[in-house]
Amino acid sequence: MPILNPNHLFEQADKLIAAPASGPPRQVDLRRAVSSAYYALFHLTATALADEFVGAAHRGSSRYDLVHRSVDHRAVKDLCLTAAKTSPPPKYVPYVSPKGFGRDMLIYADAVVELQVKRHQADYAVMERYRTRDAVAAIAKGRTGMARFRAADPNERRQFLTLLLCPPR
Amino acid sequence: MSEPSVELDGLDAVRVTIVLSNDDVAVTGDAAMNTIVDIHQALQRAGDDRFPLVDFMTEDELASDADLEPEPSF
Repeated sequence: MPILNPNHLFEQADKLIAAPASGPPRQVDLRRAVSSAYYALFHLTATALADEFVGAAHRGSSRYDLVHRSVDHRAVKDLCLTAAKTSPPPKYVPYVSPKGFGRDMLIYADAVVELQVKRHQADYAVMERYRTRDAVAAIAKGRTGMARFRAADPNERRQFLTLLLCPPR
Repeated sequence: MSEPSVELDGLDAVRVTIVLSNDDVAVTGDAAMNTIVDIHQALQRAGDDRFPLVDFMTEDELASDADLEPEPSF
C-alpha cells in the first residue's frame, strides 16, 4: 500500500511556496501548500493508527487499508481538542492519565486543530488573501507537530491512538 | 492583539496576532507551537474554552500587503 509520506507532503508545500521567476506566488499555490501541511499531519496520524493496530508489516493488506481509511478528519480534531483540555470530559477520565497528555502531544494536538481549520479556509474561503508568510507558518507548525508526535512518550501516543480508534461512549 | 470570537468550521476560536518588532528573529515552528499551547492552556485556566488561532507578524508585515498576488482581471 503506497502510504503517503508526510515529509513528502511538507516538501511539496515547500516547492509550492518557492518564489516564482517573477511576481508573487500564486494564491492557488499558497493555499495548496497550507492544505498539504495539514494532510501531512493527517496521514501521519492515520498511518500511526494503522501501524499500531494492524502493524506496519501488513501495509499491503485490506485490513490495514480499512483501518487507515477509517480515520475521520472531524474525529481527529475533536480528539485533539479533548486531549488539550486541562480537565478531560468525564467519559474520558478512565482512559487518560490524571496528569493529562505531555507537552509533545499537546503541541501535536494543537497543530492538528490549527492546520485543519487553516486547510478548510484555504480550500473554501475564497475571500481570504494568502501571503507567503501564512503558508510558511503553516508548514513550520505542521513540521513541529509531526516532530513532537514522533518524540512523544510512546504510551501517550498509544493512548491517543486507542481513543481515536475507540472513542468512549 | 486579539479579535472577538470567531466560529470556524464548528470551532469556537479567538484570533490572536502577536506583533513582533522588525528586529526580532523569525519565529520558528517550535516557538510558535509552544506559544499557542501556552495561550490555549492559559485560556482554559481562565475558564475560556475557545481555541487560539495565533499568527505572528512584524510591524512592517502588519502595515504591508506587498507580497500579495494582484487581483485577477478576468
